[in-house]
Amino acid sequence: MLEVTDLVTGYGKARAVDGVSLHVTQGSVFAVIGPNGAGKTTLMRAICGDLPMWSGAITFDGDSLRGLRSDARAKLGITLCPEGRRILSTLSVEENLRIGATPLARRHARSQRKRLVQEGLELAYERFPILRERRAAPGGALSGGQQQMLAIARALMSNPSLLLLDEPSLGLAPLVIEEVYGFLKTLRAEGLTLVLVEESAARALQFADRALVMKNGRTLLDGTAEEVRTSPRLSEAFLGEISEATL
Amino acid sequence: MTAFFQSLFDALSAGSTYVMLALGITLLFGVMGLVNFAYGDLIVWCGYLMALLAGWHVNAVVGIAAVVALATVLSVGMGETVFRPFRKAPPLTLLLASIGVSLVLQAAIRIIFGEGFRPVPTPTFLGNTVVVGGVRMSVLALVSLGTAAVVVAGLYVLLQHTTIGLQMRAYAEDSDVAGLMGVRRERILTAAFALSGVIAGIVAMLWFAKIGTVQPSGDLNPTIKAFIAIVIGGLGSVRGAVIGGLLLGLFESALGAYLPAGLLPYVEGFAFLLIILVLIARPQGVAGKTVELSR
Amino acid sequence: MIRLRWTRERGLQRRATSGAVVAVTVLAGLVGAIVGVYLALSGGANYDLLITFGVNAVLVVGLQVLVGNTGIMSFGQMAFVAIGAYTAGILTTPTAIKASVLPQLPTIFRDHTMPVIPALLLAGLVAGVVALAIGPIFMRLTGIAAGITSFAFLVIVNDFLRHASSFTRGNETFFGVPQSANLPVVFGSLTGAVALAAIIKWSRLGLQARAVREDPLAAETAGIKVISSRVWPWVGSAFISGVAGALLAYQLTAFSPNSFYLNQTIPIVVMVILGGANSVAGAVVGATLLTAFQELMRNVEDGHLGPLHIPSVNGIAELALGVGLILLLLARPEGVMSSWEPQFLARRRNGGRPGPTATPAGDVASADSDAEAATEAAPLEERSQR
Repeated sequence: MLEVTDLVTGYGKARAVDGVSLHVTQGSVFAVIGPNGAGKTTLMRAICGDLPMWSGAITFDGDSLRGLRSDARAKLGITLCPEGRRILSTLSVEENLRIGATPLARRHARSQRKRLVQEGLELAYERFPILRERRAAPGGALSGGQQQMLAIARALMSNPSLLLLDEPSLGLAPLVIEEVYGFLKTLRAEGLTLVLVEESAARALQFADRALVMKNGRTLLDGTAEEVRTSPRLSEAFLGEISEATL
Repeated sequence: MTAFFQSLFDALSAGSTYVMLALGITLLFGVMGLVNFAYGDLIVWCGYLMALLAGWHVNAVVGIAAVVALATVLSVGMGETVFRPFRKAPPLTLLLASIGVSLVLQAAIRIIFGEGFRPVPTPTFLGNTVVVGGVRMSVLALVSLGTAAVVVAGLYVLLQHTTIGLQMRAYAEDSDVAGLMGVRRERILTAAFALSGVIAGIVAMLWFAKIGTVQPSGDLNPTIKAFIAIVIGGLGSVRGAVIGGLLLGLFESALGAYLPAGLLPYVEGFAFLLIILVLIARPQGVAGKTVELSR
Repeated sequence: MIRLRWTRERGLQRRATSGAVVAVTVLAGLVGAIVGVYLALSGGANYDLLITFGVNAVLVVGLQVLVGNTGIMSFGQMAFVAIGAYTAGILTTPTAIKASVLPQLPTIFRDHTMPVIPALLLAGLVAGVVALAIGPIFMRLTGIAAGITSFAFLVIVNDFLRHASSFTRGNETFFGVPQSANLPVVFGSLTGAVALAAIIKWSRLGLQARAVREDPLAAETAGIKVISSRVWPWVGSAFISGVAGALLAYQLTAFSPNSFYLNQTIPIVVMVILGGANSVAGAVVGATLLTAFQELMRNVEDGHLGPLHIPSVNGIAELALGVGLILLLLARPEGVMSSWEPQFLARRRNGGRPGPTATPAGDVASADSDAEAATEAAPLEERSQR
């Protein structure tokens, strides 16, 4: 479904992603892990069009994404749940959800939009009752865990085919993380394709089908989640090379 | 008692123009941080159109539509051509660029129409005065007040209850996230410039109906006062623009009414001075949400 | 061994103060010398233009002191210029004229006059004192709020001048100022202004102000008081502007409050940006370029393009300025000079003196780095984006 080939991009003159490739099949869960600064978020931003790529290729369902801006890619079905949630704090919870439905509205005729958005809202409230409870509250008033729920719900409002989640467990209490992942399991069961970025490897690798380990903008390891999890090189990503001297 | 209502009416009608100007400017500031110095020049262009139309004896409704259309076209035009590359520039750079646009617009007027005043005839009925309960109200002031109320209400409805309004608010808060959510960003900017232009056209008609003449350099004061209004009210906030505009109108009326005679010539100076005092007390303005250092 | 080099200021590294001051002052003096030679050779043909250039240069340097050190773009500079102009005017106009034209002037002013140079300095001083008085108010604001409020300041002072008719003749023309803007006075003032600007820039005051500009929070934790650090560049800028006002008074000999308003502000702002808001040398360069450009435009408006005759159209100069400003902001907002300044630097020797030259890669601007690009790209702003 998603094919990234030798992607290179960065900020100013610094390369944050230096020749990374990955392949995500429909209906699977793909994890991207690595330490801080490895380039994971940059990779996500490049895939969803928030950041232009310098070289390489990204194709989605066979079509090239080159030159398409983020709103166009959202319309195609690629939605990002950004790092740090990035809830619009001046908008209410319900408005955040409505804004998330923009790509959905763009895919359909005017006559159907209202109904589709309403249905989407109902579904979101069913899945996350707390959001219904606080629908009129400003987005910024929610707790961290609630905001993560809102961010995911918002992303789902667009009815994506590919959902990118950038560090969904960031800053959340362990119990809340369980809830979030429980929900992600439901999504997977429903057939949604997920790409998950996490700094903490364990959780993501348990959940994913395939994984990519990044370090300093490059691919350190890739393969099935099992392969990556049991690889002796995994700790290298986070700790640096183990040499005779340090043993 | 009547004196109080008279003062209140005067304050509100003075404030109504400022409120509309402030709203027109705040729209652009909210979405891209642009304090459009050329806003006053949009109004001057409308004035010249009004002078021309009067000479051609054009029907009033057509005339109004034409003026609003001109302001909108000019506003969108400058948005698409000049300000497009500056989309992510810091506010000060944008202000300077808008000064450039202002120079160009003024120069164009000079080249086409030459220096000197042109008369802009005012429909006579606007000059009449109505007296209600002892309060004297000029028809123009009433129209001004009413128009401002409509503009404020209209803008409120647009921003709070329509899709495009929602998208504009989302974009104003975080344009990157708005893009990720599928919002077409160029459309938002165009819409903001267009709305801003429409308001400019409306203000122009009220303005020139009152003043009666137009010249290339226009009057700087209303533009500056609109800027001040949004700064006191709080940069970037629509509510702030309304509050700021009303406060400014209030300041001016109060000063005009209660200042000792010897100091009356300095009314404008005092108004500005009070504003500066407000800013010392509260640099982010009355309804401001951004700390001044981050914009 | 001493060498003259062009160095780019990187971040906040200090340079040997004396070396910088001397170099920049020498530059100004050199300009004056060239001007004098040109004049002698051309037989006084473009005298007025040179004087205009000199006065413009002082104005631009005055604005640069504020913008370069604090990052605040003030549109209210003309307020201080006006204060300086009227002060110098009142002090130097012959008593006979004052008696008939400004009968309500307090006798101490009406019945006495002052020589040109002391009046010039006093004009600067008055402007500086006013700036000191209102400084703490303005210096709380930054960025766009400061810019807008500075407009208000301009309007207030303009309003005041219009109404203080016993001192200023209000809206009517103030005239009778002796024509004293000759080459020595103007270029001497320019040299002084440049020296002062350089001293402020490389002094502790300037350094602190620029530290605040780069990162207010970090500066505060380092013990620098944000507001007071900005005040001295603000006062210095006002002083120089006041002096420029006096020069204008001496050049124009007759003026009104309208002579110091927005129309005069914009070209100065453009000159600062054109030359490079972070560079004192840039201020002089900007003044040179734009004065020449304006002269060219004046000719074009009159109908001459070199040897050609074209229709004379009023407004072309303004149009060109507007378009030019926009293009400048698009293409090179850091200006011609960016952050470059000339300096005299002692060559490093083994076991030589310690000091600023010990900083790595400090002297010759060679390799570019991202940090530098970031430092120079937005000379007018705090670095943070919206």
